[in-house]
Amino acid sequence: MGAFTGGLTYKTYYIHDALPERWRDPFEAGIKRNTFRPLNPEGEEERSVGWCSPHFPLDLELHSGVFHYNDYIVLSVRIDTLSVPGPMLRIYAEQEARRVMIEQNKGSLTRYERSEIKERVRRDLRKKILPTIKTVDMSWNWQDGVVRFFSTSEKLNLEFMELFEATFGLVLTPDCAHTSARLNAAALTEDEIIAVNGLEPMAFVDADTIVDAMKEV
Amino acid sequence: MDLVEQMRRADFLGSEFLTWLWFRAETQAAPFDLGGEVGTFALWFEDKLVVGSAAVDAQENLFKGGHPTTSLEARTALRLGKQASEAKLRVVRETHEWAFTFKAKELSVSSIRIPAVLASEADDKLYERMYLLEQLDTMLKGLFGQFLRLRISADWTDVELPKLRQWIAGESVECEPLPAPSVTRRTGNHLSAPIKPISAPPAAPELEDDPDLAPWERGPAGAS
Repeated sequence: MGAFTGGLTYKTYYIHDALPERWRDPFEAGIKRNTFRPLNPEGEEERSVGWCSPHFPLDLELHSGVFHYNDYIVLSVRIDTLSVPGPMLRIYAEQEARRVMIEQNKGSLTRYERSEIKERVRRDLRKKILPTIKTVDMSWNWQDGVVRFFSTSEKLNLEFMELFEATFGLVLTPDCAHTSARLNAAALTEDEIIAVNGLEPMAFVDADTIVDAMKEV
Repeated sequence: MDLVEQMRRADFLGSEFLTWLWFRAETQAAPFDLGGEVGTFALWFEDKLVVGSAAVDAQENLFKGGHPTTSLEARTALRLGKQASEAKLRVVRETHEWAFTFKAKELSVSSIRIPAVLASEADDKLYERMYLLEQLDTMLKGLFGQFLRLRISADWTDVELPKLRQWIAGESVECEPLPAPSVTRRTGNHLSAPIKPISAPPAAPELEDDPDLAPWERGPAGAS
């Protein structure tokens, strides 16, 4: 969602470092290195994060024609999660436990046996279910150094920052009052920025107004 | 002081800015003026407002529906020393209109409704959407810069703050529009970015067939 269609909710980041002189090849290599890798149902990993095409999440052939648009680099972060839901696991583990008790003619199972059954059932179920797929777009105006990530989820933003920095070797600075004061659009001089850094919070009301308001409520 | 600490220290400026914007939107007869290519635009608060206090662990008040900025409850919250922390805003510039939720602490925007996108091709749609978002960002950051410039000036304590306090206390106040900054307004939100005027969305590339160009320079073939 985000860059081409859909909801426009995003978090902005800035890149303060200058781009390397010949950045296209290393960036393309970085994107390839960090392209999404599907989870292995036989394995243990429950979450995988990587780049995919902004047009289709299953398209993992990432070349410049897919992600490079004049002043923008646009990619999607794909996050797959493969975990067996707890209630489902409990039900099938109980079914298996009952089967084992009948088979072994036992009235109960030890905690160790139940734990072993649960783990076995979890592995079996993992092979049968499909991962959930989530994608979030990222647009990067590399001329201006402005990156938009189309989600405000804290967890997704942290994963995105990690992925971006691992891919491009550039540090993202999140948008906030401090960084906004330094932007071209704010049009402050260096002296004004220094003065802003020295500002302290200020009450917009005096004590008398507060006291009067408290008497009213 | 490291960057993270500096960023945390400046968080309070977001709610001061949004509260000031509320004050200005209600007391300034003329539209906002950022000069340069951005020029003038109108801004007003819509039907959602959150007020709270960053200084103390006080309750937040959420006002929804109707016109919360003029409600007695919201004004009372201001008089109790609270400041706006989130609001639904609308910006109108020429024939373009944006509606969005502004969160003061992060100076972030969400649930943005941009002016209608006319392009039908995927690439053009991207350029147009990004262009419209950049325009909104430029206006908001420009207003933030205008607030900061005022906040560090002597005019803040001599003129603006007394009027702000009068307004919060419920007195009738009328403000003159702030002068447009003398620095030429730019797009591009990076300090070291090349200066580019706001004019029109970038044209779609027409370079696909030039065999002398490197693949990177041939435009987004295959992206549609």
